[in-house]
Amino acid sequence: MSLLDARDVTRSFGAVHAMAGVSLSLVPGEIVGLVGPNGAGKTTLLRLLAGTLRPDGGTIIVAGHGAGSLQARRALGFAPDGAVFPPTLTVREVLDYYARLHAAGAGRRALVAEALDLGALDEVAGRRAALLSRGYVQRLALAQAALGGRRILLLDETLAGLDPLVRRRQCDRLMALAGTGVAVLLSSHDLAAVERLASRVLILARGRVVREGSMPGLLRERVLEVVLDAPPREPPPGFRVTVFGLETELGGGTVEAALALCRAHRLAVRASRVRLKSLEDVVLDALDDDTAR
Amino acid sequence: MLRCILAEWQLARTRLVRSRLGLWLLLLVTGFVLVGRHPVILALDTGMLAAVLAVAFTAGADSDRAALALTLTHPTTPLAVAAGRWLAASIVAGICVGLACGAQAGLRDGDAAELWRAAAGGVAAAGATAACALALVWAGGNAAAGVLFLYVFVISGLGPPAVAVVLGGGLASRMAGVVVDVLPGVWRYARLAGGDSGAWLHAGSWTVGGVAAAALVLARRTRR
Repeated sequence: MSLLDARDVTRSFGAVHAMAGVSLSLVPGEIVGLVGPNGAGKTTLLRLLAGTLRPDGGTIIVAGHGAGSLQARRALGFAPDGAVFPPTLTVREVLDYYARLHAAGAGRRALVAEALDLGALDEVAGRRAALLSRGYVQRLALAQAALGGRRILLLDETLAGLDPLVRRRQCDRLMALAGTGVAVLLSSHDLAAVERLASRVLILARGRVVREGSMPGLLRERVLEVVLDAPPREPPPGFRVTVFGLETELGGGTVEAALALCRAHRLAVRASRVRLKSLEDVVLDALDDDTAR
Repeated sequence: MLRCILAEWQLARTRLVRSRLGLWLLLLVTGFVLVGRHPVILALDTGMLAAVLAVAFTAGADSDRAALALTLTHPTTPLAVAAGRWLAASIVAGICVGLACGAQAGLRDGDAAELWRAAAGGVAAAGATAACALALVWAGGNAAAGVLFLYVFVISGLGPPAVAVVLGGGLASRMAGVVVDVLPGVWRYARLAGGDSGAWLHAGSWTVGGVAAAALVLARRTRR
């Protein structure tokens, strides 16, 4: 059963169609990646799901309630990119302020302690929120989004601005959260992190989903990389030029057949290797296909 | 709902000690007490101006208004947030009225009952002004708070007839008269201490209507 269900959601800003009929669902325990170029509509989609924007058309159901309703906000947490917090409060006070909206007394203090731990914010708990660096702001945004045992998290660039060590720890924490049944929709330009975390990916362009699928399904195709002695004047059919030579998707073909094609074009092959497609390949292919349409 | 309203006090409490709000309020109370005005006017001026300052410092800054969007992704409502901010500003202004009237009682001889009535009027006027200020700053930022502060301090002591005399008739005079008649003003709330039902009704209407208007402005700003 899905925790979040959006059907044919549309939203325009004047003449700009920011969201043109997007549908998606989230089930408990899954992490879904939301990727796409700048202006694709990722933040608009997250804001629509969080209820801070009203859709022009379509339906959004969050834990059985309409998006933006009080019940939906009890179940869904939103960590916006560049979140703004009450500036005179310290990190601990910011979390305490939001925790008061969820629980009282000892329960509230427990929520604050959990949130500080989730965001790894203990060392800056006494620092004012207005003086935090971007990385800490993102961590505080995640911590407040998860407050109150919410079952759905919408994360907008939450992994941006983090150093590699903290990023790894945050990824581990997100996976641990998903392990407890929390559904996560993660919008990010960090495709390596999405590839590591997400079980499913939606690729958005111009307000539409241009490709979606499970991560193993999208990344199962094999790619042959060919290292050449000299850059080719013209690549053989089906190949594209890279910094080290050429590459092609093997599809149903064999490595031998692809290398034979290179030799037939009088290309001096120094080395070759087969790898699986990366998420970056999939995203770029999807965007190329969308542009060609 | 009550828990959500009370959560907003935390913002006012930290502003009192971590921003210039506390200093400004102290200067305001000290200044009015030293001038030695009539207790009713002392309580009204202190309460109404302290209410505008409290709202400006706790709700009017750009960063405070931007932070409201995130607050409303949690289980609270625009009405609860507005009511909480109004209550916090009114409490701060009420404390200022209490300090001013207490100092007045200590420094000068006077009728204790009159001072209590003046303080009650000052607190009611502070509540009405805080609600009005809240709706204005969420719609127009702290520039609106600055205009309201000047209005309360300079103009609101004059009733509509006095405004007509000062402006010398004409359309501008009539419009100014309407504004002075509608907005919370010292000239009208000076009758609160005497138990004037019209003044109490006006203050009560502004308190309820101002908080409701502020909640509407907030709802429109944060869910478009």
